Amino acid sequence: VHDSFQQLIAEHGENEPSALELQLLQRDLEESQGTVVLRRRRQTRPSIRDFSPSARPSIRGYGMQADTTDGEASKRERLVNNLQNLSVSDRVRMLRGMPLSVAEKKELRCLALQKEISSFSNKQLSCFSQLKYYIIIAMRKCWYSWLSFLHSLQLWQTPLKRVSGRFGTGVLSYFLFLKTLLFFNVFLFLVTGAFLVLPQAVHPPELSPQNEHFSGLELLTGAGTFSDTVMYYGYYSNHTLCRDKTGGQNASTLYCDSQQLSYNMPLAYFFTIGMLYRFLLMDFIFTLLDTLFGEFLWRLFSVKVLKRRRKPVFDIARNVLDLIYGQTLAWLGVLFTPLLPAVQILKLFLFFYIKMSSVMMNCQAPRKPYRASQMTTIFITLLCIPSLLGASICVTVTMWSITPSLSCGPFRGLKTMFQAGKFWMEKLEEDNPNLSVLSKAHTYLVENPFFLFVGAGIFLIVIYFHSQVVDGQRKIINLLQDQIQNEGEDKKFLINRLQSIHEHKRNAGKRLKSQVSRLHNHQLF
Amino acid sequence: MGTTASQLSKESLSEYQELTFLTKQEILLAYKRFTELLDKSEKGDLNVRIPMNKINSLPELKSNPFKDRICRVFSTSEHKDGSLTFEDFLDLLSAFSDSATLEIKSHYAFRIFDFDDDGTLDRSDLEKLVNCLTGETEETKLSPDEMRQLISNILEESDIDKDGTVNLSEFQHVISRSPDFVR
Repeated sequence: VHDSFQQLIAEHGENEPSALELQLLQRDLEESQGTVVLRRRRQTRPSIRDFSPSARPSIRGYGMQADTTDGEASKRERLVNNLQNLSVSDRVRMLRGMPLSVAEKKELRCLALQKEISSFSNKQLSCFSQLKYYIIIAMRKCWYSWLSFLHSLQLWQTPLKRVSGRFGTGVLSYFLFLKTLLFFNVFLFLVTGAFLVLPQAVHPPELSPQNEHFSGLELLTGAGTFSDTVMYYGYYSNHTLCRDKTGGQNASTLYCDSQQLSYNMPLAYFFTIGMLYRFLLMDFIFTLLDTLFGEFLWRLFSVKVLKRRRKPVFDIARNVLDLIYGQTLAWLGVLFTPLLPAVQILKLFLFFYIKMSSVMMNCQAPRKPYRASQMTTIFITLLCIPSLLGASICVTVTMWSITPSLSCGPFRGLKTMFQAGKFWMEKLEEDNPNLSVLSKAHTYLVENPFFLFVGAGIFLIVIYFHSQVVDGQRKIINLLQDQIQNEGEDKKFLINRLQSIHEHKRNAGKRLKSQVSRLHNHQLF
Repeated sequence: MGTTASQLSKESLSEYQELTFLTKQEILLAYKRFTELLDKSEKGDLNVRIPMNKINSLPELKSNPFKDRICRVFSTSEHKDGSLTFEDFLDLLSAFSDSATLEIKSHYAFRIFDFDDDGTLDRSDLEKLVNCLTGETEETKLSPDEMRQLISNILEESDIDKDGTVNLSEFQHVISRSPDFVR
């Protein structure tokens, strides 16, 4: 069809059309077929976007570097006018997005700017608007240098590029997941650090002096000198930072007497002596050992002893599950060990480099091509559904039902941890009756489960809505695909008809000519 | 770095920053790599063209099976010999950079794969494409039957209007669904 169409145009044309014109004609025809697809897009998007979708050949400037015929010049004029009417950032974005050579873009930009400057100089620019103009230019330059700076700051960009180049997007998705977990932990650490750790560290409670020396064993067990620091929940106290008449601590605080730690611990104390810290540490050590044995030694073994030609494959699934396990531990422990996210950050940071060097040395790319975007979704889903949901359920149940320990921690003396919030609201209302609105809001919104049910219901309805919309769009895509196919067949049919008519005309013309010449000869003789 | 940076004026640097997807450091690095390829006599002249074989000697392009097509597509020379000026080189780097949009990448990928420059990917273009990827040696080349089957599969998946060729829109549609491009 494509060749016959070109032939037809060639036969009809008086002068030999250039390859450029043929292409443009073809594109215009395709564009007119594509307008059905495009019309929907144009309705939903603003006009700037019209210049970038795929089937707009006139703006694309494909082959604009050819010699300028009249059609070309007017297209250029239109383009320059459009560029002029845009704001600066839109113009930059559009110029960047055009698939032209840099020389072409420089010319277009010059033309657009010239017109703008000429229109500027016609008006009398006041001092103020000139100043504004200069300020805008200076800010734009600052913005560009800020973007370059941000770009260079991206964490681990070079190692990630190297891994993705050698091992493909499957292994890359594992490392990206690690990076995402690191950022989650940084966020969590900033929040708990700013609101919990910092105020407590700045106002340390008075403790009886301990005679414990710091031995290296503390890092492994998490007990000993660590148990009296901001690391554990037992260290925290609940005095509010307001000055009351006593000018000091609230009467309700007690010291955490570390002598109370005895060997048979009821379950409520389970978390306060660093069990989760130890779990986390064990996880780290075991992953290290696994990397050593599983990857390094296995590679040596399989290459030297088993004489296989290929290195072992990096097991993405197992490693991702290890990461999720470690993150679940961190989330479970954050209620009682506010500094646990910091430990997790350190652990993930070290992990990245260890795993990176192990992969580079010991493994080869996976044989099956993994679909990277689906994998990232699967990882995040696995992280949310069993891991985050489970950890938050555990923490919520702990806050709602378990009686906090009587001798240490910020929730001493209360029936459940949740009551602390209620008492604080009541105290707030006492101190400052203007804030009663806030306490009423707290009573009805946070404590009343009805609101949570309504919120969850609305959320589910919105999800259902979106899934129905996606379904409908899928059906429309199928319909449109059929439509495109039908129009292709119509095009074929029309071209065949045009060809046959053209043939007919030519034959009719020939017959006429031969008839006339015969008549002429007849007349002559 | 000081001497090379001073040869690229501040205005052109900011202009290139606006017109391409490259950052300032990337443009300066590109300038450094470009001038390394020039002879001593040609240094300092930005409009000089570097021939295709010199560009293809860069280690980043040396093992690329499409290096000739890449040079030809980005070249603005009248002789269509694949020689690149500095601005063409920046064009190349900008299209391949991480910040480039999907439309730019797919547009240039289409032009690179279009071996006969006729605006569509027909069977012969696709055959040449597959041969570039598999190599031309006897062991790695596909048999004619395998080639025919592969190209029929490609056309079945990408050719929406069933005219036997893949045009730009169809190519962009197929590419946008590929998970490697959705980052």
